[in-house]
Amino acid sequence: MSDEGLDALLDAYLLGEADAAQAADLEAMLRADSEARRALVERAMLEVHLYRACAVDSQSAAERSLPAAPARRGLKRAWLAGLAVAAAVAVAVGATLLLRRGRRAEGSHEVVSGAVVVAGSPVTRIPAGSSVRVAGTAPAVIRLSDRSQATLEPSSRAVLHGRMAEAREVVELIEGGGRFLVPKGRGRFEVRTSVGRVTVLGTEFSVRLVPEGHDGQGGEPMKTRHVLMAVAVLAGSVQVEVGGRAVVLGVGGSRVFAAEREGPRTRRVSGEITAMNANTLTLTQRGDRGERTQTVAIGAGTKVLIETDEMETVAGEGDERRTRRKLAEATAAELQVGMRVTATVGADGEAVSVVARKPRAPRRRGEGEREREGRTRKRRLSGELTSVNGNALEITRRGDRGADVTSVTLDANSAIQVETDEMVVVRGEGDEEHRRPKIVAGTAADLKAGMRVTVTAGEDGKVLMILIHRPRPRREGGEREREREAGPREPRRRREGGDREPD
Amino acid sequence: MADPDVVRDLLRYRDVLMGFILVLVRDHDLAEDVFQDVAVSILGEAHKGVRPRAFMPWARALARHRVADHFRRHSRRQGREVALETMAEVADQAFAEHGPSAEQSRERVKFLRECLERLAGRARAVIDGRYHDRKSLAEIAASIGWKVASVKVALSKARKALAECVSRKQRAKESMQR
Repeated sequence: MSDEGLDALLDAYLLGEADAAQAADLEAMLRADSEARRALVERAMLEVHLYRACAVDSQSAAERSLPAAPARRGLKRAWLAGLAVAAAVAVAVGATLLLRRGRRAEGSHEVVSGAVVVAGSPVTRIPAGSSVRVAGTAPAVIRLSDRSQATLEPSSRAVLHGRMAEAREVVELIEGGGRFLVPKGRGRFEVRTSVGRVTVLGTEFSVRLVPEGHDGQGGEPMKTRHVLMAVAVLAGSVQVEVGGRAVVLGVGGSRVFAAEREGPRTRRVSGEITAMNANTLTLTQRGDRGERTQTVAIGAGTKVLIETDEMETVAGEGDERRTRRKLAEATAAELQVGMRVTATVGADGEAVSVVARKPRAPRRRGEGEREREGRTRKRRLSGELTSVNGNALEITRRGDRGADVTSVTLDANSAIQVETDEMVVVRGEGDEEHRRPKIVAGTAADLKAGMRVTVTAGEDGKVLMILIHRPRPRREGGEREREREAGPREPRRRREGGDREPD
Repeated sequence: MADPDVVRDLLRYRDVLMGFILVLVRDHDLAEDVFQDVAVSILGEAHKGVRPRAFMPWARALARHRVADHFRRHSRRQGREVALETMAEVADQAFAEHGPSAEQSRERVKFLRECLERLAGRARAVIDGRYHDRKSLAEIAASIGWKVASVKVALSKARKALAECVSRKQRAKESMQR
């Protein structure tokens, strides 16, 4: 059968339109031919990816022009399809702001069992509106002010708001999970998360937030890009709202909801603790330009971790393994003046996490100078690669005074890197974001005369690192002059004029 | 707390798993429902401390069970259940041989979004109608004044163009890495 025939058969099969004879034909082909099986996988993945790509597209469209929600075949389907729920984040953020600005609830909550920490101190009574963290390895059972019971998992973080507006009890689950036993009563009981909101009148249910890449230590929760919210109903029923849409789960029902989102904006501050009190740390960074001091707020939600002597291997970028010192959970009280720390600070100025480093071994006088002397001096130059002859390279720099050619040689230790067309956002000085081309590892075969490169070489002319820059876009003759005369041109408008196929 | 590795793998491979389920149930909306059941099963197993040696084969096996459960509960779809019996094995083999890695899957979505940006006119209209507005072929046909058969052909062509666009971008990236 031709490729077109197979494509048509796969289309019919995956759209549920293939009859029994066609399905049998397809199955026989799939059994016999690996390439047909590849085509099946690719066609199925295209279908899934199209829904995903278009769903995300629809969210940004909805955000631009609310309430222009697209027409859908059914609430449940559309809602489920929208697993990537940018709108949910907007709802959650809005809810959080309202909660923070809303009046504080009256009443307090009582810790029945387990260890609960508020503002760095263990407590047995929790004032309404408090931010709590479950310490230790056992779950914490908390009797809430409306006589509901929350059992929070170890390491969970939540804000127990108490009564708010028409809700008799609002629990804002920030991290971890919990089980809630809610007796019938006046007003609704709400659990709010960054993914969505669970509302009940009288029931027992559990909610668990599971961030992607959670390493079990919660070291950098703000890097989370995906969050799952698992809701299971043990009795009664609950209504779950995600992205402005609602679904009701009955007894025995369980469902997983996901949000794809950028982690909240955070910044990192590193330095030595030069002063501290119960609520703030003063961090001093020392560098060539002198000292810089910053104050970081710490609160109940701040996770404190201290490096231990034990090493561990963790998954890094690109699934590569890397070794690092194991971190142990600690309390703010264990931080001391003189410790070197890195604080991840949220948009509200409060530290989400503080990681205290092991103190460096003290250096003896003159050690630094001796080290520097022992180091190879490096030089760096940028220019055009004008000759590639085996391992011998020539870099030509052109300037007002003419061309300057430098010869360098590659060896087995030379690192070769290549800029790609893909752009990545990186954080630079002052935590500012800027875009630069993504860099991937290359080989000597990538080096071609005419390329723009930046070379870092030792005094002996051996290349330590060579970066191949992306080719600059070609300009037509006189284009630059025309641009100068006419000023910046308007960008081309897309999606005009008929059926342009993607290239 | 569920095993974080299993949860991470579920998130990373969710599209691939969804693709596998789609092959078994042949209906995207139904596949989403079944995927929910599978996700709950996986999280439940992870919570019990189950640590599969290889995530995808384990997840595919769970998915096959959930799909079979679904068809048993909804016996009106007997035709598809019969198809499942015979197709599940070959689909499993296909995904074991050619299923994309999590990274490849994520990259394809990224390329697909770029390709969609450049898709215009009628091709874009039918793709939006189908995958964005989630309309049936008849609804798309009614909204743009075409025959259903024409919509079907246009959709097929648009999908093919997008698939070729994604492949080109993948090849370009691979050649840069070489």
